Amino acid sequence: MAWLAGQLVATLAIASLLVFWVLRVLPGDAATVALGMNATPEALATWRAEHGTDRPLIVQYGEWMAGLFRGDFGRSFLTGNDLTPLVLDRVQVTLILVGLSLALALAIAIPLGTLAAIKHRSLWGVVITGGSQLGVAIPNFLVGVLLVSFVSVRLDWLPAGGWVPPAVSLTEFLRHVTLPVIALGTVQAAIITRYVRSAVLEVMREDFLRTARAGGLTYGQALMRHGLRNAGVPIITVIGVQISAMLIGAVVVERVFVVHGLGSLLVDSAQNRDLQAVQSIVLLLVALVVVINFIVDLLYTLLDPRLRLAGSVV
Amino acid sequence: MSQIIQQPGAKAAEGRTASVVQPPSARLPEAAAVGPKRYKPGIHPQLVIGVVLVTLIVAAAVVSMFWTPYDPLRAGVGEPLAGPSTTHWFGIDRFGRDVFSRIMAGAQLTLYVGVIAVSIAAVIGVPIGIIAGMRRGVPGALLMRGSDVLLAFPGLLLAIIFGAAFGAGTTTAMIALGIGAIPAFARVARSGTLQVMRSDYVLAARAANRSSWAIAWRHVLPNIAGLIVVQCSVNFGLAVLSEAALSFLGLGTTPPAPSWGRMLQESQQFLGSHDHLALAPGIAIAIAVLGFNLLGDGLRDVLDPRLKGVR
Amino acid sequence: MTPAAPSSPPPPQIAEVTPALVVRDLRIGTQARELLHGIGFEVLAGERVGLIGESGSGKTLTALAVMGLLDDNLTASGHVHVAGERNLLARSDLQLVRLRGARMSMVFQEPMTALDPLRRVGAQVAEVIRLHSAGGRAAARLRAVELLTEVGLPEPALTARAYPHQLSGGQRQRVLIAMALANDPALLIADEPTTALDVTVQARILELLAKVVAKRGAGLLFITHDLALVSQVCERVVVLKDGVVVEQGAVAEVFADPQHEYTRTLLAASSLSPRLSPLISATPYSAQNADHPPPIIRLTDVTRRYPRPGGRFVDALKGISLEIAPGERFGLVGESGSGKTTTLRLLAGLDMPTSGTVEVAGVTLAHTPVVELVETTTETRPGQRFVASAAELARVRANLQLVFQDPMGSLNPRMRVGNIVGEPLLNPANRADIPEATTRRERRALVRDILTAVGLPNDAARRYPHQFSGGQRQRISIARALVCRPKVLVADEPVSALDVSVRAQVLELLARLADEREFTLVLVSHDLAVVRHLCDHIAVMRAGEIVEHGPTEQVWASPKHEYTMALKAATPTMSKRRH
Repeated sequence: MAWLAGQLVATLAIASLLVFWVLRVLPGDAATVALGMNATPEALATWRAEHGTDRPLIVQYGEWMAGLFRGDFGRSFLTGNDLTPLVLDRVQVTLILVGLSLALALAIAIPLGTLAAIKHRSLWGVVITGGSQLGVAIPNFLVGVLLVSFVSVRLDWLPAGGWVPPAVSLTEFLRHVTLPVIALGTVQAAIITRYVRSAVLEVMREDFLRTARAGGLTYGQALMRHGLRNAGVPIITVIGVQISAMLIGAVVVERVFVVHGLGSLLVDSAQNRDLQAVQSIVLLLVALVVVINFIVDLLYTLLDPRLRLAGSVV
Repeated sequence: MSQIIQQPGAKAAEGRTASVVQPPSARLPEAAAVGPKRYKPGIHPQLVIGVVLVTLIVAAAVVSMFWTPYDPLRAGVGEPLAGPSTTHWFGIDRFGRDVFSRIMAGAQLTLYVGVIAVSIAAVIGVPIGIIAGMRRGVPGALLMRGSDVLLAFPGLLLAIIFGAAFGAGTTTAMIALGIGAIPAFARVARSGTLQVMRSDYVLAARAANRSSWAIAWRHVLPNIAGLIVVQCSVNFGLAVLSEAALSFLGLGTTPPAPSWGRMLQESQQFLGSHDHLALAPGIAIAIAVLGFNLLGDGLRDVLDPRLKGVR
Repeated sequence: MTPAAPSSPPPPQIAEVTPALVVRDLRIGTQARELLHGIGFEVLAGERVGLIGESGSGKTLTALAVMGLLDDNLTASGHVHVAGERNLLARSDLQLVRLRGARMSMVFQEPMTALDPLRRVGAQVAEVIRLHSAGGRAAARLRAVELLTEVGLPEPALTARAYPHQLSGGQRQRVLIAMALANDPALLIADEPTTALDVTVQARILELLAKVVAKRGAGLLFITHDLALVSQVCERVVVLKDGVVVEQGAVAEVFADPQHEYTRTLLAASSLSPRLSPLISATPYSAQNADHPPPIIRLTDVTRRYPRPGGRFVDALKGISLEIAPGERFGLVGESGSGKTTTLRLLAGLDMPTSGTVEVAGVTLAHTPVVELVETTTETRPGQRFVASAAELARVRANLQLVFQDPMGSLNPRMRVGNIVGEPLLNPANRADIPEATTRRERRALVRDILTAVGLPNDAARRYPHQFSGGQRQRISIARALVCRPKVLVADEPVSALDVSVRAQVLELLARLADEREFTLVLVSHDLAVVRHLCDHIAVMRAGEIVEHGPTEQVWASPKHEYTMALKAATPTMSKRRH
């Protein structure tokens, strides 16, 4: 526990250094990046003084870190606005989108993956496996584009884009969120289905399942009582990795449906070369990823007594 | 969107207590039956489909180097936004360029990005993994921890950072994708190496006083080659997908170069009326990714059943 | 005793007591081919029947067919009756569920993986009880503890709350036996239940099995590859070969006067008596020679301590000393955890001792003048530590080679046999004393010679390891070890993964080569019988110490240490029953 927490802090510290290095040290002068190569020396000097980039890098890093600890994401190099309220507003949108998509993905993937494993010799198994294989290969933005084309433009059932916060209008929120969640969730479902299938297949080969059947459990009972919990251990890892992937993957879907989430903000900032915004958003995302991994590790130890208890009772 | 870079179950396996197991002679039959090269008789369907799809993409790329129906960059070869026809199989885009020619030329770009990204990841990641697997202790652990920090930057994040720092472009994208895939290769190589290093044939080689270099070259590398090839194929698919996403976001290949992701993004404003503009690049991406994934899965089954668990 | 004819199986007896198991004309096959060709036998209530056969004979398939646990792609036909129930093969899985764990139950081979790792063992036993009885949760839990007591687990109430990984292999097997007995079945099938266990643990588990079966009057079908076990545990024996029953009858009769050729081969191969006359009568540098040559291996007060997480230590070796004279055939016997593998690694220079001296072939590998790692100090200075240089290590390795236990895992599957065997010759240090190994062609000739010497076909060098059987692969291992003409050959459990009939051949080969090529043989084994068969000197290890050593016949005939006696008593021998 303490070890895991220490690892979390160490990873974050190294990641912050890495982000700062790549974004602020490697590209050279931030002013040149912002104003372009043709800017006059006076303009550059003014810009530097305005944004504080004329101070030593170590001071800038320290100030950035100190700000983050206070919950201050700094000021945009581009607009000079305080990034904090913007980032906090955007991160909510992304978290809602990712949370709902994950729920959809799990609701599809766990039953389908289990079914595909149990019926792996029959037609159903082949169909599910083939379907998930195909789903993995289809990019979520293609699904999004097709959904917009058919459901929104041709059938005019749901809006093609935009975002209404649930606090404003729940029905409008649901109408706007449905298509993005389907685009993001179904592709994730295909990926997770494959891992659920292979985890369950692995468990089905375990000796202890045979022991359980020899004791008088039916195949289904043995799988429910002994199999799924054991398969759960690897599946949790996969879910953890997939949440991390979705936090970033959401950005593409946000683009398709014109949803202003954290990812869109990141991409806009990256395109505008707003290095201050990029480094703060990236570190926020990395922190989310690291915390998710931390939770997965904790769940692991809760689920598996072999990691929880060392030594011998008897 | 992104795929798994960690192997599930790896932790569970490490957690298992290694206890007394005295020589079980009756374990032999399985060991004997499952030889290292037990090719299943008959054709492996996944592998065959994978090979066909990948061949299709490669063929399109190679042919496009010498010939395309029209110049993929030339505007005005047909009426803008015209649908598929006998002269323009996949139709015409809004600038009047031939979509089929652009898809063919896009295959070239896609393969180029995939090859470079996978090469960067493999060339750096595999030695890290092998060294970490052979030299346990502080240096190995440091190498792995170092590459694991990259795991905190999932999928596209690294590419977006690089885009911001160095400006968007194909080169930036493929270097970022390559670096991002290093931990995946390092982990696969390390777990494979650990398994090989535990084997008695390595012990025999050490007892015959062979150098670490010889052990790595003669014993470790040939035995983990299958795993690496599989990882290459899977990561190739991932790189194709990521490049398309980056171009879609405007952080990858810049216009007018024909990139499938970019074409898909440009099609967005014509959705519902000119769907061929979205379908053509979309299907091309799906075929490429599916091809490499299937190839990877098929190779995994065929190459080495014994190391299958390692993934 | 009746030499079985598959076409006319013995008719099921209609005795006063219903037989626990009747199998008639049982055939099992895949779609492509038949694996079991119509076998028949029966197990009476209270009777212990051994089903014996080598790998691939179909003995486990038979057991799984009786339990109705065959893989989906296998089909079974014929008749299986358990405790008077009508034919099980004609029933659906749902109908069989009521019988499994109640009327018939099974103990499997691998106790390490046969229990659900995420649930407490008591709960797993209780689950089987509750499946077949109406009693509540609390009653089942009490009964589970009772059963754990009956199978001889220490502190059963506490053990019931343990997870499988907290128990040893033997303890887990006891839990599995408790599960199998939970509902007093009429038939208990035990499939190689002790193969994965230490010899002394095996003896206690077999005792337990016999006891609990007798107490319940249940039939026991005991599946094994080891004839000695059958002779100890069973009253009747069924011999299976390639899916056919070749012979069955009372154990005493079959073993005293085997009718079938195969049974005779098996019996001959299983009774490992000491090798009385080596082909060359005396080894050239016998220890008895007047001019006592210096020992080729000398360990002096060797300890090895491995660190464990949490600042703890495990002492794998607690100060052992031994000397092996040139030409000796030395056996190192011990169970798992005895330190015999650590000793082997130290000898080969694959590991260094924590303290003490290891000398091999005139090279001092490591010499650390007794340094006690004092726990309290902040500085642990290991005095004048001396570790062999790379060149000296190379000399040891040129002189000492290894043969491993697992014939599959010890050969690189990606290399041709010729390259595997020739690999030691690639190292110039290893061929320093072999002038005729400088060129590629010469080395290839050497490889060919040694392959012939170990009895492999001429084209072996061009083939890959997986094209050979287990016994042949072990011969390849031996060839690789001997190709650079070492003075010492260390063989780690070289035959324990082999079938009985192959085992004798490989042992014979080792002995012959040791005589012909005049190397010192160090045989590491858990099996006292194997060591006795081959070795002239023996050391018995236990928990990191040598408890007894001396000439083999002396140690065997009049063991001094109680552990040696226990080990000898636990070693299954064919003769035991008849004397």
